[in-house]
Amino acid sequence: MAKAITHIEKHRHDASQERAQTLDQLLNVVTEHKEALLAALDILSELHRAGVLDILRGLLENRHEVGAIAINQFNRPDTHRMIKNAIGGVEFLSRLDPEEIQTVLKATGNGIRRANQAVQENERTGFWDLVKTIRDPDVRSSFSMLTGFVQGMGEAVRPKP
Amino acid sequence: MGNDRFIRINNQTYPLKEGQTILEAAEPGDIYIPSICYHPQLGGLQTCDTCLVDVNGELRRACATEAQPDMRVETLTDRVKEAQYEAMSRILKNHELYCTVCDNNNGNCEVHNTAAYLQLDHQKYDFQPKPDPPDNSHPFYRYEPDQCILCGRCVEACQDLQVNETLTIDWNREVPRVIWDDDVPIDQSSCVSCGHCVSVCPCNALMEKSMLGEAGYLTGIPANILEPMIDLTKEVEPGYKEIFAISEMEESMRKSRIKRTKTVCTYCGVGCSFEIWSKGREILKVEPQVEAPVNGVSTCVKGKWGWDFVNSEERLTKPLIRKGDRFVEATWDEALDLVAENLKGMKRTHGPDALGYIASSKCSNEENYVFQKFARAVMGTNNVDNCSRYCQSPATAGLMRTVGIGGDAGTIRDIAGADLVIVVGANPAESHPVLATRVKRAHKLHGQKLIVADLRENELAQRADLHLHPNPGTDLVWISAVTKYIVDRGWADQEFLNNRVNGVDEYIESLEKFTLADAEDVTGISREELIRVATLIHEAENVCILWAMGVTQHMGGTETSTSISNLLLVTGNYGRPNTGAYPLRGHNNVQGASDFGTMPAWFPGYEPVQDDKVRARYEKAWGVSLPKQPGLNNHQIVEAIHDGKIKGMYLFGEEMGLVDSNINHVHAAFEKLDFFVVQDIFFSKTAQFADVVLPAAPSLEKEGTFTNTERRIQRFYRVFEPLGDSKPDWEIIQLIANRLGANWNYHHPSDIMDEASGLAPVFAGVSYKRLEGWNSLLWPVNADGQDTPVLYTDRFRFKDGRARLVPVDWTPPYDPGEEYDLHLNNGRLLEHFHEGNMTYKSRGITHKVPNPWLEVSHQLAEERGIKDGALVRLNSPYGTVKVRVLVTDHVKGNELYLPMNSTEEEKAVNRLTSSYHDKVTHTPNFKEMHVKMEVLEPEGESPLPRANHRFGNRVPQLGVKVEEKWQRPDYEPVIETIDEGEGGG
Repeated sequence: MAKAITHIEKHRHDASQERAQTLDQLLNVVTEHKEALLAALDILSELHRAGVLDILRGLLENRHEVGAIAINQFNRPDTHRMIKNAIGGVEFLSRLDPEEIQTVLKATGNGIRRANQAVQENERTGFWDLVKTIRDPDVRSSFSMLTGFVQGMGEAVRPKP
Repeated sequence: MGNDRFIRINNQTYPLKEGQTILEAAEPGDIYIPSICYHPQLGGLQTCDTCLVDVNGELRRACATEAQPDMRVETLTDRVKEAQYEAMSRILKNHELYCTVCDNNNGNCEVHNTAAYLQLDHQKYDFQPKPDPPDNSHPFYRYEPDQCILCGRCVEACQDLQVNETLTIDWNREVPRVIWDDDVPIDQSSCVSCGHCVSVCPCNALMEKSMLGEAGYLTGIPANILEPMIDLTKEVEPGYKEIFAISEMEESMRKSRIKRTKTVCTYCGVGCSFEIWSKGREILKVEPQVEAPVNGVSTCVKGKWGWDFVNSEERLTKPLIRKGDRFVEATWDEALDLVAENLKGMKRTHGPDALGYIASSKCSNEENYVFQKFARAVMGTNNVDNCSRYCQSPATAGLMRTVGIGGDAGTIRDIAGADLVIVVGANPAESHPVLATRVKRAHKLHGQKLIVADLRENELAQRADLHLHPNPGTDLVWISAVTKYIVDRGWADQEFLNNRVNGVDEYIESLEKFTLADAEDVTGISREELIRVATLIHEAENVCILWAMGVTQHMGGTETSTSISNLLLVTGNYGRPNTGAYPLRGHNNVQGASDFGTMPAWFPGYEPVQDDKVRARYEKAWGVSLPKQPGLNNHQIVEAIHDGKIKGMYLFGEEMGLVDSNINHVHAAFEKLDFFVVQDIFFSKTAQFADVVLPAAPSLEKEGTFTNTERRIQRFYRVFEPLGDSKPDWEIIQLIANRLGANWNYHHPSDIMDEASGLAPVFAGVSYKRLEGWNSLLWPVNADGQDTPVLYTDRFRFKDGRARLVPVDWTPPYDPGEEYDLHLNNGRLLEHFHEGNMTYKSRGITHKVPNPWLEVSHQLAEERGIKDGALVRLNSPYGTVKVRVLVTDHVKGNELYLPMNSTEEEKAVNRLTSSYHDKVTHTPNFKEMHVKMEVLEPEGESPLPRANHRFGNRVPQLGVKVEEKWQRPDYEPVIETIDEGEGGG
């Protein structure tokens, strides 16, 4: 004779048993990853000594407020400009041909070295000497490079017909 | 089959099928044409223009242009790209791209993917927010007009696939948007929460609320940070390409937190399959896929949203043992030892037949297989049955005696393809919602004719060409009268009868008594209507007949099912596509539970236990000797308990204490048991009577297969680990068997299936390998894996291959006496499953339907002076219930309807039903009861909240009405825009 019953006696949560189980699982993981954990703990302790963890805690605990302030600071015309310039700069660099840049940079480097020599030797170039230098093939190459650059720039700036 | 039609696309030749659009013809050739508004199940809607391609020099929409053999199509020219780019730019005027912080950024966002393909770099038209705020009123999904691109997929799905006709786009307002009914909040509309619109939305405009703030890594960010972040991104964005790069990285990262698992729905016999997206133990969403063989992207409210029960606090997580007046939690060892000891002891003392075993139509094929094996091989009895006894056994019996197989003659595709569908005693729009969508669609779009015979004017009845309202329990009479009329008119398929059917003459003779005049008297259906039915059948090339509990749950359930099959035979509607008999199975695995042998007279695959050869096969495989005599069925087990013959019972996954008829009688039986084991996911009413309760795991926590109403076997995979200490049913059954010395060694359900398919010839070719992913098999399955979507194409399943016409007789329904003056009908509601212990755990579903109600006609309400919300008591000779009233035109005159979906005994319809039953199968006559009604309060709060679809106003139309978009004064064809651009530049 089994009447319908609805009373269920639940085992009281055996907290200590559950904790022991959890600890057991944790210890297994700890043993398995001992080296990594020790290294991580070293880093953590350094971060703690440096006060970095405190800062991070502050940030994380108040992340919504801090986030709102930061994003609002960020979301302003000057920041927009800065980010756009940064992106623009990166894009500019990405358009340059590295080999061409090599040539120009090499030339510029050489020029700088010679310039420094001239300064150190305290050379004082007279007017006729200047005229003579123009005849120098090296100087002429350098001039062609500069005029080429000026021409190219003008090409990009001048309105198209 | 020869195919000499080809189309040239990008100077390559591709084969072409009749009626294909350019888009469809291009797809197999791996030619990608953008197409945001096109969906494989909906077709092209012509709203987005992203599929413009060059056809013989002209720009045309690939989704709407029928491909012709002489066409030359270009999809990659600059002009095509320019047109597509323009179309996409227009879409982005309606949609803000913030993919990285969007919950729809899961690799399947079509707006994102198309914009990325077109290498869209900048916003040509500024994004313009819409004037309306998001609609968050519905418990399960939201609509965000600001993100809506007005592609109209949701409207098309609602109007022409689900055919609920709730959504439209109002093209005539200044800023068009999607509206529900005549522009009411979603929650107050006629929306049935089926989820179609959300599933087909190509972006994040319609989204599952369970996804919001959960799917992405950054999407949970609060609005006061998120909005400035979106602004900032837009302000500094160098172009969309970089945004896409970041969002694609984030999308890839999501793969490690969102798990997608294919499963099969457990809420009815249709067998929808879909992916469950989960994160930890949380369900993010249910995502149906076009590949799903039964449903494609279709779902209903239960399948799309009703899974909260899995994580319910009320789940059983530990075995319980009865100790005096309480249950005490126990370990598995304690519980299993107790079960084994008692079963062993009772078998020894009282013999194997003193125990009864009740299986579950909600559990898997494998679980039913091992359960019947346990009863037969380990416990030595055939006293094993499942709950199809309560619903579908008469249909099975009616078919087995006429055509040989107790299952649907074809697939849902065949139902959709028929010229005429007849529904008898069924309410598919609520009980088999996705199957009903196929009928509604065929009826709305393809001219399919529909006849519904039902006491209630349910949704299909409202849509039908002809709604018959027979007197309760008289279906056999009108069906047979129609058959006789067809024979008399010479409309029978004589050739079919000659070649393929036995017993024709005797049968036709037996029809004599079913004259139209008598039928009119008995059924209340007019002569004209009967002739109209016969004529519609005669005029239709292909007829399918669908039926359910309105036919089977009667004392003459088997006979009426037989009469349906007879009618189909006489008219030659078997053995061809788009024809046949379709008993609509109620639960997810009603078909499979019976198929896999939890029936007292049959081994798996419907082979008789009395057949010596068959039994020898199983005895050899299992290494035991098996009982020869058929055992007791559910109904007989209850009676045998009352008679003191059955002393103990083991039941799993069945709420027999609420869903069997005459439950007071059933409860009294349970009380007499010496030992009762109940295995369930919840502490059910039945469990209250148990001595040991074992915690089981639901489908989402195990693997296995289900067989749907089509005989289609489909695999489901494990989404979560079993909750707490609960276990899959097959594991529990094996543990008990092994404690009783069975020595079974199943490691996975596939081991069980391998054994079953090795023993039952109809499953010969069934294997988990063949059922991987979206693959499915319709039994009978040959050893080589060839399955059988349409039955009886060559032969009926009898020795001589011929069908049998079986004469039938009408059994007048049970009549409790004159004082019981109201007819009580009962059945299901769309929103809840069975008694409701799963679906009531969903807050959203309970918000829509908090409890069942009693449907009362206007006429009766007036007579008795009651209104919506009235509290009444119903009395039958067997018991009483107390329930609130809803006055509705779904029921007529003195007919009442009380849904079965209640976990509260006070409202349980089966306190009223009797123990009378079908003569052949012992299925209870749930549908044959009269009651008297006592008014306790003449009015009160309506049992149905305003937020229920039944109060909505549908807005039927064909599709999205794109013509109205084109007629707007601000609409300019894409071609004109780009031509102007060129002319002006």
